[in-house]
Amino acid sequence: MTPIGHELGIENVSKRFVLSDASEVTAVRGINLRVAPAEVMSIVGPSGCGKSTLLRMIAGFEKPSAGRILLGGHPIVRPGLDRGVVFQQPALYPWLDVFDNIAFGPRMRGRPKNQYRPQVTRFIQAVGLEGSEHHYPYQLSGGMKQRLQIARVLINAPELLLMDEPFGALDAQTRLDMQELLLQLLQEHRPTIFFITHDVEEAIFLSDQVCVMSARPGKVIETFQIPFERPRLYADVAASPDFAALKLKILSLVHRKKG
Amino acid sequence: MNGRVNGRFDRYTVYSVVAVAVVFLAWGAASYWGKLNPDRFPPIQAIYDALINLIRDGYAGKPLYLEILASLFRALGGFVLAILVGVPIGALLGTNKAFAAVVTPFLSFLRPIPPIALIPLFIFYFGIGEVSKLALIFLTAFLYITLNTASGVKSVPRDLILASYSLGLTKLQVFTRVILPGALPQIITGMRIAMALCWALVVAAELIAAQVGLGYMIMDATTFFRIPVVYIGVLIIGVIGLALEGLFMALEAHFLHWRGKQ
Repeated sequence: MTPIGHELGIENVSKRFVLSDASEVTAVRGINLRVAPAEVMSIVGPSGCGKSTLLRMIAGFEKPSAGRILLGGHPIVRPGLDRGVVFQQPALYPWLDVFDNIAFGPRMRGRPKNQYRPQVTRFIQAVGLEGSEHHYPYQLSGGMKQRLQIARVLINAPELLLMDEPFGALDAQTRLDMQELLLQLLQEHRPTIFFITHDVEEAIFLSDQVCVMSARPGKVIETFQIPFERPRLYADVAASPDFAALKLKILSLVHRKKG
Repeated sequence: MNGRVNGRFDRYTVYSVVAVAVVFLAWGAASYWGKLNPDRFPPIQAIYDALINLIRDGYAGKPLYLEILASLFRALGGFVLAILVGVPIGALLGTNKAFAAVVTPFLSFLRPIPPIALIPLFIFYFGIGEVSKLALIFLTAFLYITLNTASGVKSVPRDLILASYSLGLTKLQVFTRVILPGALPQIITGMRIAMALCWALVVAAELIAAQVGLGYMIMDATTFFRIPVVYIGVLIIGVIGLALEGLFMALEAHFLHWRGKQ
């Protein structure tokens, strides 16, 4: 049986920052979103629309100024094991090799070695890093680093996967490979996913819902349901006329001038 | 750095070896043809003989290794104490802004003062025995290690710390297993610089007031015009300084191969 992630609820969330000159900036305002268990939601929007701020609040790195965020009905107060975060700039331990980077979480939580070792090996294979077990992050390509980040997070079986433009820095071909890899990984373990991207095609291909946000202060403009059947293959999805229509609609909203 | 290419020494290594050989040959030739006053610039043979004598009979009734050990003990003693105190304080300095605000003015003021300028004060307060030397070396190493630890701790990427909390680490684990290892490159660099300073300083302190040690030996030998002994003292100080530097380089190459690479 496939374990299923928890429902994510974002209720009336706003975030204001106080700058060094005591002025205030509202990053996001009045956000309401709901992501059903094991669904994938992508957020697209112009730079500075507060989508990363939203993700960091869900991760527990920042506190909302107003509103609340619930995972499986429980309010989020701090970072936790139930939410795995994948950053655009890989946050890997440079002094640990691939194997130890993945094993680090279970090891720190006191799991017995004979329990996590086979798991680490399984995830190394699942993300296609076999043969690189004893390489260090600096010896890996950008795509391999993201594979490593994903494996390190998935081994903890998170309820919610938070991905902040994870493939944004990769070349086009690697990005496609990573998108298909991600969908393939989700067939085994199905967390709820909150995915931030600049790439509208990526958002449509991966998601059940795509949410478009406005420029600062970030607000939800519209949320689109994505109808394609899973499992998906990029070539099939991209060829469908629905895909082109959705892409056009979303792009026009993203590029709409403020005001 | 590897001096060999395909089993042969590369030409820059050859240049280095030749340069050193030329200097020694020039020295030997100048002595041989009487161009150097042997009382002021002893011939290599005299230095070699003095070394054999020192190893066999020691200096001023004490064996040579005792002079070396005395200096090493002072330098390493103060240095190790400085690591034990400086790393925790540096870590606190790098994480706690209020503590940093209180302590930084003192550290910033002390750091540019050449430690040698403090020798008279330390002798005045702590006497001419071991305490004043250890205290001075401790202070010097402490400043470097503390400030480097603080800057290393601050350099650990914020996202790496946050990611660690998301992996389920406790605050203590984040500190000991993420922040400290992340700061290690700068901590070790601080140690390497501090070690070189400590070694220079111990000799300076011994020149001024000591009954044993390499600094004492060269000072005393100069007073009695035993110039070959002075040269040997300088040589030993140089070789030990190089060895200490090499030790830290080896530590860095082994444990910090990942540093500065993305």
